Amino acid sequence: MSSLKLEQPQRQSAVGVAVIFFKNLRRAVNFFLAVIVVQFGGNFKMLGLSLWHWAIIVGVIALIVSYLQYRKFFFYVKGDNFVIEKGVLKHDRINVPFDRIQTVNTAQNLVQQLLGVVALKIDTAGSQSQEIEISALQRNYAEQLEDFLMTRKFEEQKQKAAPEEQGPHEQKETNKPKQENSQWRNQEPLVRLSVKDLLKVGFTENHLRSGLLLFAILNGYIWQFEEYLLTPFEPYLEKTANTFLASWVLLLPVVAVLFLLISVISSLVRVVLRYYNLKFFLNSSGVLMQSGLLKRNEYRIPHRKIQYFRWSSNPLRNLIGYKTIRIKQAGGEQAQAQKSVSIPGLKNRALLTIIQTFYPQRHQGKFNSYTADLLLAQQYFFWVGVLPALAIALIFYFNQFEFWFYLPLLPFLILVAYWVYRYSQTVQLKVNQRVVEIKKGWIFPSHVSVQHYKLQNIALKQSIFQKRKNLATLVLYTAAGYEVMPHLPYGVAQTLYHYLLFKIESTNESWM
Amino acid sequence: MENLQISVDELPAQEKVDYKPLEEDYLYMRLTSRGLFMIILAGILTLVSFSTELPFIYWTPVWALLIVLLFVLEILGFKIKGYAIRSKDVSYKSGLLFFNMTSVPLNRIQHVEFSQSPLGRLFDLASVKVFTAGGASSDMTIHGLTKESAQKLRDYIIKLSAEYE
Repeated sequence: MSSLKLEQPQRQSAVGVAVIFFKNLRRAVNFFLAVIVVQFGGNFKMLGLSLWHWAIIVGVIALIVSYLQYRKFFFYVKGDNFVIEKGVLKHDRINVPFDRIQTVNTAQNLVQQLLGVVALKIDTAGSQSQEIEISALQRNYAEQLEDFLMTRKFEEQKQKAAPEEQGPHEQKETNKPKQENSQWRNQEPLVRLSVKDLLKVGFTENHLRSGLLLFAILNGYIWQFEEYLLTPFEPYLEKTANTFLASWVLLLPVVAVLFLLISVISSLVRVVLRYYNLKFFLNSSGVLMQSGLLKRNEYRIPHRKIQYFRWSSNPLRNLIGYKTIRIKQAGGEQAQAQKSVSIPGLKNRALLTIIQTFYPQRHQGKFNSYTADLLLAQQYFFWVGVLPALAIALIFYFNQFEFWFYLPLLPFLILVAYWVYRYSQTVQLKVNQRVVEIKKGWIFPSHVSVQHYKLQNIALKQSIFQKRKNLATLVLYTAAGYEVMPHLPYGVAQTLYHYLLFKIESTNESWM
Repeated sequence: MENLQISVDELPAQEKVDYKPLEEDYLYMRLTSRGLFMIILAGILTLVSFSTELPFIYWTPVWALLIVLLFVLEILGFKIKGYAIRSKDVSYKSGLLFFNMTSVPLNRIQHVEFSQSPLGRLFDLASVKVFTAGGASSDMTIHGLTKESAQKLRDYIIKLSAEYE
């Protein structure tokens, strides 16, 4: 603590002004984006000033505001709290009790990377999403502060857990987490992705998903400017829409190739941006991951916060022996999307190391395994195959299309039937005395493993369709989301329901 | 670490959970709620019929069929609904077409809430909501309790689950 000088209020690194300035500038640009796009190049005039004049005015204001924000931003330690003071017009003081700190992460966006500073983010227990972030610290200082906060957190929690054991001789004990934390810095990472690995990962991404993701993002952006972008083309669009519909069978391959090309490029870009220079560390205190090109993130997840893992693959990745692992950590459902950390390009050996570290007793006891009923295939065939085919056939019928338009529907149905059959064959639940695991997926196999004591509660569901065949669905809820095992024989589902409940109720291991 | 030797087949059959039925007033409350909804729907459709050319005969049979169906499902489904408090967990079951049975172990309960809807006030009924760390989809609500027993139940669950903290 002495080198951190947290007894007195501390400011951020002086280049923090620049970091805050760019942050404010980006906010301003986002705010005026519509105006800029629409008026760019045109003769924009407001109060007799052009767009450029306004840009300079906004820039100068942002600079002044940023400087004031920097001057008014302090952080220090007071008693059992880490305190942040900020605010130019409205003075804000955020008190973070050490024992409420969940995780401390660092991140670097492009500006922060160029200036050689990092942002420190503190995640607290509690659902309010108050942003606790220090935008610009020297890396050295940030790492020390991170270690300091985590050490204090563990000390506080330990004192709360065993208040009677306080004493000077306990000093040695409380130093332990600090040592573990510092170990990250000199430890060899378990996984490190080189540029070559990154390209491999990029090319073996699920391109269909990347494409759809890109499409969804673009879609969201385009509709903002719909009037300006689409109105001039409307007459052409109508014409092309008609010709497109008339020759959909011919056009489909062209569109598919184009879509695939764009998808591959988008996956590559996404993977490089997100996973550039990925380093993944693993030790007894938890995991640490650093990655990213323009924005470098560092995630640190304490061992206890990790609820379970999902590892998955696809045919291309399997070919080069790569798997992806997703770390599911405790938190609200909304936070899940941002909080789930995944590592692509994992070799089987590294995966095995992770599994052995977190599921040391996974192989204690024989696994009993159960498969899903064929009803799963039938239901999927209806929703994914029959219903879409019927909808398309109806459209064709009402437009009085010729007979051969309907032909592609038959191979489509056969394909779907084969896929859902193969898929349903892979759905499987395995359970032993320590863990329950669910495997799913034929082309994209995924595997989930949950230790019994990490489960929260269990549900058993039965629809009237299942009732006829005496089947039931089992839902396993954890603090990091839920997993579903569909269409088990009713007796099995019921036995598992009670068995897992019994396991939760008879454990006193702390799940978080 | 205990219980390692127990395998799935050797487990004591705990299936005989004694589910308590809900207050019968809850059925009438649900019927009232469904009925009100259908009456409002009929009102809107009547207005539409008067202002446009939509003949009454087009929608009245469908409406009548729907209300009969809703009431029958509600009455048959009521028998399935029930809750159970055991020494180590709380359970609730419901659903005629889509049956759902959930058990929340007491050592996983985050907090418990008492709540009463406007219609519930009319029937003197209330519900108890049990929250876990599993997120909104895993929270459990026990409906159809008298106000007094709901408060009692909430306090009881809080007392039982507090022993695990």
